[in-house]
Amino acid sequence: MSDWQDRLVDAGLHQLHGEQPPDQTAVILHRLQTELGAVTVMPPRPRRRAGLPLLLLSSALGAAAALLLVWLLMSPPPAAAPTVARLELAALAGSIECTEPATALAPEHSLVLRPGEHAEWRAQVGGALHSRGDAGAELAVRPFGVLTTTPHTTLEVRSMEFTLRNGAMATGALTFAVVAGVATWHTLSRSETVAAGQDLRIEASAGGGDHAAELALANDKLVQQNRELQTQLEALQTQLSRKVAASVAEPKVEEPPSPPPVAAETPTGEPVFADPGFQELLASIDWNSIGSASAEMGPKLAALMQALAEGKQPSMEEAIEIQKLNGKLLEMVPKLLKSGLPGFGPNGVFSHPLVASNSLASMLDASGQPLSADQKATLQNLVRAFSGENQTTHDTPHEFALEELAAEAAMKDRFYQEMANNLTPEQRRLMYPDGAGKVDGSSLFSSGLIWSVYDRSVPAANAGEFARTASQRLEQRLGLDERQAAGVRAVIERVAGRGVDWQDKGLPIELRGGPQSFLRSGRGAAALAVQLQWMRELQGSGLLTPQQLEQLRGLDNIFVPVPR
Amino acid sequence: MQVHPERDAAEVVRSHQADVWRYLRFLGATAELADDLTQETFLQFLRAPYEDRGADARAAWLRTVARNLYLRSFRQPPLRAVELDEADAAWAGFVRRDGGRDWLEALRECVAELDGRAQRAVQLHYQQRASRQQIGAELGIGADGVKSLLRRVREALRRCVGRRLAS
Repeated sequence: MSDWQDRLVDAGLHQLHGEQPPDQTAVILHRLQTELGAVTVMPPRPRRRAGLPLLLLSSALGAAAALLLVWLLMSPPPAAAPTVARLELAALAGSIECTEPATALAPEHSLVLRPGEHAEWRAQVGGALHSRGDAGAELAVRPFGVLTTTPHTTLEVRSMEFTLRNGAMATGALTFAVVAGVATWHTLSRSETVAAGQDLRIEASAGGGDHAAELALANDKLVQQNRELQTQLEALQTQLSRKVAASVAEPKVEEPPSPPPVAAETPTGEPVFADPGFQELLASIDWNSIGSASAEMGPKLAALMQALAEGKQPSMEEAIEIQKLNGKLLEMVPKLLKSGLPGFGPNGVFSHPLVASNSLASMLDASGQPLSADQKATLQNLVRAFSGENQTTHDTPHEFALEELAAEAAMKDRFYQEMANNLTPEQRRLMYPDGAGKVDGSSLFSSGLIWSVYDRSVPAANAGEFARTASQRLEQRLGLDERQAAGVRAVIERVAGRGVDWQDKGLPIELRGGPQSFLRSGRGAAALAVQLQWMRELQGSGLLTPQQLEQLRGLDNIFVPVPR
Repeated sequence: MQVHPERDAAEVVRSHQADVWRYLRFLGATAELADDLTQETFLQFLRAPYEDRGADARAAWLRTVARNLYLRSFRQPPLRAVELDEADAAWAGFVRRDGGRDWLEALRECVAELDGRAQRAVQLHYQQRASRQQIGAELGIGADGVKSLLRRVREALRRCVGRRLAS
């Protein structure tokens, strides 16, 4: 009997003995009614708009060109009109052609974005993005993140999923079919690279969840308020300068001007710590912008995570500010990834000693506590030593991909510690504001930034429950059969039973499970130590096929037991 | 192009959801994954332009979407093309004519004809969800023996179903 015939009888027996599929009619209809596919349909582009210039030069916006808004029109749906999401895109590098398919009322339409330009794109199934020229392209699609492509890459929209709340986007996802080339989607917390023939699914900012709509709306309001305040400020400054001009017309004893602040040894915006191999990369980053964003973001991020850890509702305005500041930091990620700077994933590259040290220096500078010449010399030596160790870690072959993560994260924590040891107490407080580092992802100078990407919280009461969940996830990932799944579960249960402290109960934010949970610092590292034990045991157990072993070695998720 | 008013949509989901869910379970999806993918399958069906050519064509379309969604839920495809062909052939044999009802009826009758020990093993495994160790303890055999016994029973049931459907 073939395996499939056996499975068929098995499925039939399950059915005869009571296994019934749930009735999901109501759920499906509810989703159909509440998600974009059913309720948000834009009329096709009117012909008169086809000739209008869509490109908006972003020279005046500078880095803010990457601050893109996504919005959806809520016109009454004509019966069979296609679903369209109006997105705003910005080309950060390279040229990209954005195509909108023909509709009943308008022919196919395309526009080309060149570096620094941004434009509206009516995304719908069949629409496409093509990178032009020989250098590939980087395209910001906020709040989805940044798409980086190799030359001559074509991405075609295959499906779109948006959830609406109060008339604005609450969550969203676009799935592209990669028709040619290679594309990478990255945000600060996630990255995925796919090649031709595969699908690339990009999702609205992680953790946005149902708050994304409010965030987007509130963000719009704040941007508008900011513009109004700037206008008022300019008017007041004009009035003030007129008054000052009038007052200085009277004769007066001239006083010597107060001495200017001591000029920094390093020109504004240039990196403090250099590396000949990455000179061009470091020079291409606006460290002033990074410094001011980091200085502002550090305390806000720590406070936000602290509030979450204490079960409080975080301030909406603060969350919006953090998103905006994070966007500024995010702008350098495509350059970092392209430069070949070694690191485990985007956040590994982002936290490379060279980047972290320059971020720290610019942040201290922006906060009025710049590094002294002695400190710079000491830190330069640290950067050199730890960059070398980072490279060695990256170049060393590892049996399991996660071993590299463990080594790199431990090295970076030592590096941060060494840097902090060479700072004044005031500078240390800026590096680690109150609350920073207690939860993964709450500090810009902690390996938690890396852990938070790969950790997957598995709330469980004991080793058995943990093993059941972890083995189910592995069953899906590795394609285990019943016998293998039972064997894997037994190994995990045995190792987790002796390696995990089941009395160390999780905080409420740790018990959410999955990628949306926030974990206390240190949990990821402890879980990985245990996981590497059971992965090694599985490797030697003879349970897995060579193909499954290969997949196990490449596994990049950490199943973190969170006792409850 | 078929438009799906709400009443029709509900009808389509009610008529086909069990088949889609069971097909996903047959391919190897866990119950939770089958739940999720069943939802996604119907959402794709109800949103996409679709020319309706009757229930059989609709069921085949839904299975194709469900299968693609299942394969895409893995980083590495869990099944090779040839395995998928075998799976589909087996499933087609099951759902032929009446969506599998006569096949299941035949299976029910064949289970009733099993001898006491085999029937008890089936009952313990499929109805009471007992572990192999528990079944082995009751039947006085080891866990591996239970596995072999269940496989032999399924093989016997397949032959029995085949005979009944042929007659």
